[in-house]
Order: sequence, then C-alpha cells, then structure tokens
Amino acid sequence: MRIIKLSICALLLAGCAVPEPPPRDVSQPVVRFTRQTSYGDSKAVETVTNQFGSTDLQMIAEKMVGSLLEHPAITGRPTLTLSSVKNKTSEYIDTKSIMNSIQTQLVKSGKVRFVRSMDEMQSGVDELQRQNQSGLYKSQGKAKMGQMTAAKFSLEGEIVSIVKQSVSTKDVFYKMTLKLYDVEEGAIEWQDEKEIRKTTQR
Amino acid sequence: MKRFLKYSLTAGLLVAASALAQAPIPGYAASAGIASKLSVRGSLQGLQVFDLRSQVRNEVIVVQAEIQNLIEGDSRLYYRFRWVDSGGMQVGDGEVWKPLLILGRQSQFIKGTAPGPKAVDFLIEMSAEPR
Repeated sequence: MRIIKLSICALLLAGCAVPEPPPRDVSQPVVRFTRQTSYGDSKAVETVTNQFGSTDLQMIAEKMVGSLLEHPAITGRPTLTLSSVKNKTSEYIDTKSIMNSIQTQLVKSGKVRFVRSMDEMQSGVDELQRQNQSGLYKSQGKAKMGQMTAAKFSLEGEIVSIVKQSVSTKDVFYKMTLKLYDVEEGAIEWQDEKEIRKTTQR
Repeated sequence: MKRFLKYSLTAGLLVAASALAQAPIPGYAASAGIASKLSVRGSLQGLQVFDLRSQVRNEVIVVQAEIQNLIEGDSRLYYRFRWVDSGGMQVGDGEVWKPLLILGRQSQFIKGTAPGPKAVDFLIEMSAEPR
C-alpha cells in the first residue's frame, strides 16, 4: 500500500514538472541587412497601392482557368496555343505573366495540351535543325522534322482599365477578357471576363 | 462503490453523446453540414453561409456558396477554396485569398472550380473584417 502511495506521488510530481523553456536569443541561419524584411504569404491580398498587383494577376488566372475547365469545349484533351494579350491600360502590365499563370494551371489540370506559341517557335525550330541538319546526331532517337502537333484552339485576350480620380479618391476598374478561338473555323468556342475594382481614399 | 462508479460512467457517456449530437451550429453556417465544409478564422462579422451546393461539370467539381450579411454594417470577406484528392492530399498550389465586399443585409454568391479532375473534396477557408 505504501509503495502504491509513493508511486502515485512520484507520478503526480512527474506530471507537475515544468518543461524547460526554449532557449532565447538564438540566431537563425539567415543573412539579414534589416529586420524590416520578412517572407510573407504569396497568396495574401496585396493592397499596397491600387496599381495592378499580384492579387489581380492571381485572381484573373484562377477565374479564367476555372471557367475554362468547366466548359465542354476542352473535352477530349485538345491542343491549345497562347496568342497575344493586348494591354490597353495606362500602366505597364506583363500580360505574358498572366498568360503563363493560366497556362501553368491548365497544364497541371491535365485537361488540355499546349503546343509551342509563336514566341516559343524559334527555339523549337532551332533544336530540330540542330538535331537534323548539323550531322552530329545518330539517326536513332532523333526528333523528326514535320511531326509537330498543330493547335486546335488559341487563347487570345486583352486587358483594359478605367481610371477615375478626384482630390480624395482614386478608382481603378480593370477588365480582362479572354477568348478561345477554334483555329480552323475562326469561331469563338469560349469567352469570359474578370472585372476588378480597386478604390483608394486618402 | 463499484456500482456507483459504473452508473456514473454510463451517465457521463450518455451526457457526452447527447452533447455531441446537439452540438451547437456555429453562427457563420446555416446548418451543421455547411459548417463542416468551412474553415473559419475568428469572427465572420455577421456573415453567414446559408446555402452551399456543388456539382461536377466536365469532370471537375464546381462549388457555389451563398453568403448573407445578417447585420447592418458592411463586411469584407476574404475566402479561398482548398481542394483535396481521394487520399486527402492537397490538389494544386493553393488558391489566392480573394476579397469580397458584402454590404449590410446583402447576400452574395462565391464560386470555386477545382483545379482538375483529381480534386474530390473541398473546404472553404474564410476570414472577415468590418469594412
């Protein structure tokens, strides 16, 4: 009985033991010039200014990809190519970056296949010519000329903005339009828009 | 003594079971089923998800939620969908947080489309602040 009592006391004492606090003032393996810089959430809503920003780019890409994925036009894993996206806003926007995000998400979905766009064609042609015309490669495993797959659809679009400003308020309205053209027929198979309003008040 | 302990344990289990069965539905969801699909950070500032539906279109899940502002004041909602495959692993790189202004006593739809056919389940992550 005494042993049991002692055991219970020992267990209770062990339970009450305070864990050792973590050591403080331990430096991290990071080279910093200032404590003001830190890594943040790349998916967070960015409202530093009302110019076109990362959240706008990501929201446009998500909306367009979602809309396209649920549309029956892309049934059967068709081939797509990226075409031009016109920037009709008053500010510099890297439209290629928007289209790259859209392309990445579509490729990862596995629902479509992308073939080389106009911009990417020259590097593909150069590689084919190197393999076929340089005389450096054995015939086995060599990429053959004339075997490229053509795109069934092309993605084209434009982004516009309307800016209104008063003494205390600046309102920016962005609208991105994206169209999926059937290359052979020239018909629009799918089209969608993403609108974004950003208002800044002083 | 043994009999007393046995009855106490049984009564305790019964109380716990009934408490679980009647777990209060959080104010941000209209039903327990909707609440199970939400991951809410803090208070939703008077917002309530009162309708949630999903369907498969072209092999991908499409989800629509209707959110109502139950108070007079405007609220700014931040939301994103999280998609998982049949093994419970995340599909895609994670969505961007999307801001949505919901005026007092207004209701708005939010919609999400899965990033591909691999996604079989979803969760809506939400956070809100007064305007």
